[in-house]
Amino acid sequence: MIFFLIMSLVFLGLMVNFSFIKIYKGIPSMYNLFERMMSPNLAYGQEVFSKLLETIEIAVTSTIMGVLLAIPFALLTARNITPNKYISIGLNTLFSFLRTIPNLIWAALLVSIFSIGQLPGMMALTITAFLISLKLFKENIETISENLINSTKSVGATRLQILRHCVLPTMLELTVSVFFMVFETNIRSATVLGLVGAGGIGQIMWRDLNHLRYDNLATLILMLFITILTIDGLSLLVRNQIKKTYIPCKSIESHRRFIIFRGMTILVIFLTIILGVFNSIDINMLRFKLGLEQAQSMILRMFYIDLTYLPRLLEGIKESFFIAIFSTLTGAIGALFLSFFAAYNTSPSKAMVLISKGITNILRTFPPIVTAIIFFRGVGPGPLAGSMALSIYTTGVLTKLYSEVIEHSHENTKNSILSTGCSNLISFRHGILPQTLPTFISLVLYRLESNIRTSTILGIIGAGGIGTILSMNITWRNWERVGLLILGIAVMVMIIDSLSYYLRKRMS
Amino acid sequence: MVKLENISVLYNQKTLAVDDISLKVEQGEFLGIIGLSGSGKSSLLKTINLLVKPSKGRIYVDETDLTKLKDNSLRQIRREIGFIFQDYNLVERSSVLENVLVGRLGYKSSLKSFFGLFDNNDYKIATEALEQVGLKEKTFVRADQLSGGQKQRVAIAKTLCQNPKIILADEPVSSLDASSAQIVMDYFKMINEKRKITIMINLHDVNLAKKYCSRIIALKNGRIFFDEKVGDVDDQQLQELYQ
Repeated sequence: MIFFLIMSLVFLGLMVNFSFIKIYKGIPSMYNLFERMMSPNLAYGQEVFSKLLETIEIAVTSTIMGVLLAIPFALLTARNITPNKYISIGLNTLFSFLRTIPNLIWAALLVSIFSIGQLPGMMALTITAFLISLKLFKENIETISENLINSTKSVGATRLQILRHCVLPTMLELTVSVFFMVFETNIRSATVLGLVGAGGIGQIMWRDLNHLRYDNLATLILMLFITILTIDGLSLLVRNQIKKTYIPCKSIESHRRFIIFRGMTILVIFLTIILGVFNSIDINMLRFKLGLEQAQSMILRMFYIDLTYLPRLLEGIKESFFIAIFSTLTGAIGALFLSFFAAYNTSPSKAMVLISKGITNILRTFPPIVTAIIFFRGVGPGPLAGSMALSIYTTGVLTKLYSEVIEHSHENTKNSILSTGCSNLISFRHGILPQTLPTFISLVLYRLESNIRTSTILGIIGAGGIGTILSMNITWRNWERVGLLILGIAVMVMIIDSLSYYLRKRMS
Repeated sequence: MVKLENISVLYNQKTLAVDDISLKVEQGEFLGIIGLSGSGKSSLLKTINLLVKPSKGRIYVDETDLTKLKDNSLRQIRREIGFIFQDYNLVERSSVLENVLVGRLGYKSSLKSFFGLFDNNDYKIATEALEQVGLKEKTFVRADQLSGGQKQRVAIAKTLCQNPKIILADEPVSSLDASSAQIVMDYFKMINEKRKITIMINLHDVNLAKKYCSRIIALKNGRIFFDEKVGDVDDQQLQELYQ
């Protein structure tokens, strides 16, 4: 087993040009980079701050629009309440195809349609927010039992009444947590949109990198770190709070007032959001129309895929695939170790818990493409930079999730092993690990699905994978080739997704 | 009065769940349906308000033939037929009152109910129903805070709000402990006697059926195995049923 693991690691390492010498040689320049970053240019803070606000605005607006758009579509596509089975199947196929396209690619495509600026970024993130929240809503609605719908049906309720009184109350709570979950993803994505010219803080980050202004970069990364941590914390707080809401009523009268008040509040919030969103979009109709015409011809040309480009596609896909596999595996191994120290019920000491949780949070704060930029300076262009960055991010995310799983595992399992007189580590190895392994593996598989998507965009900054030729061809407007590349990515992502789905099903 | 004529239910065009059953239930009867799991009890009950469409046969409630009704009139007749499930089916995060008010939906226009607007009469009926099942003090509690037995009583109150002539109950006490089951059954009995509502109830506990029902029907492989007044059921028959 261990031998097999090592062999596959070596093989994967070869596939992503892993070399200790390269990393060793890269250390001084990476260290130098860190050293220069240790003296942040605080005077630069003001400019960063205004860009940061822009980034947050992009993330908030796109999340709101995406989540709101997703609600009606979820009602249309959820298998148990759809008005028409064929509409549901058709839309689901379309959306799962669109979901395979990573957000940075959406942004790059939209930039070539609507020109550089905030709007394409906002649209790209709206699309991805829409697709993610649609999936979450749909899965949630599908867990509503058939009997609950039947029981509302049997009081003589109409279709609309069933939606309003039995589907919507369950969704209302979910909407808030979906909003924050998607927001956490979007704020990370919004920071890198600038790499393809789609607005936000990424624009100045990219500029500073190219001008070697590491002091500025340090300011930027520091502020980004604080922002993301704050948002994550806020999100966690709200999501925990909403589970505890109760209905503050004493009499029928106050209950009726409460219902009216609640209805009004929701209406007001809804209208404010719509107004806010419309205000933040600044584009004249003429430019928008031109964009739509360009989009039309672009999509038409994409259908005539350029098959002569197939060898390059396969080459890129292969590289992306191995980046994803390598970083998932190394991330999984890293997370297994780190989780032991980060979960408070297995860790040897409390200090260790704090340190490990701190490390985990740092690892998962930055989108992998930002980390890749740093490795890029050290080990040069190519898949190694990308896979190291992705490994680090995977380790962070997996550790967070898995240590929570460990913390929720049964105390008794651990105690029953401990009571035979062995150490903490042994009780972890023989008690908690076998018990939680299936959950861990399915977490790893989910990560693989996400990593496959990320590995296709790392190439945009030259960190290996199919993203390099994809972004080149988007810039050159070779839409026939872009069509082929997107199709290739979609096929790979779908294969991996269904494989992962199959494996997860088999385990449970 | 409920009358079934030659009802069959076919799932996926191959599994015959109910096989040519004819049955007549008078207003105000307390009818227990017993039988092994898979004998077609649940399907039979669900065809009566057309949650499951029968593959052949006719269903009459009073003089109306339900199988001929269009959507709109079907909804109207469904108001008169309450249905209670084993798994309570409350909206967990809504208050007890909101759950009970769902029972009034059949009497409301789509627009008004969309904004959650119910009138004085609805609130009066809802509070009376809650009072009747002894849960008045739980009116403003979230449904997920209740015990199983209490949830089932809320489901009964919800059904009472429909002002039904008939209540169909599909294994309503199967997931309850013995004493909660007794309490819930007592409420069924009380409704039956006070409001003269016909009750058709699936039970897998024969003793409960004997204790509460006035008439017992046993199903075996989708057919009626026996149909007797409660006093006439003997152990010999029961043994054969559960073989």
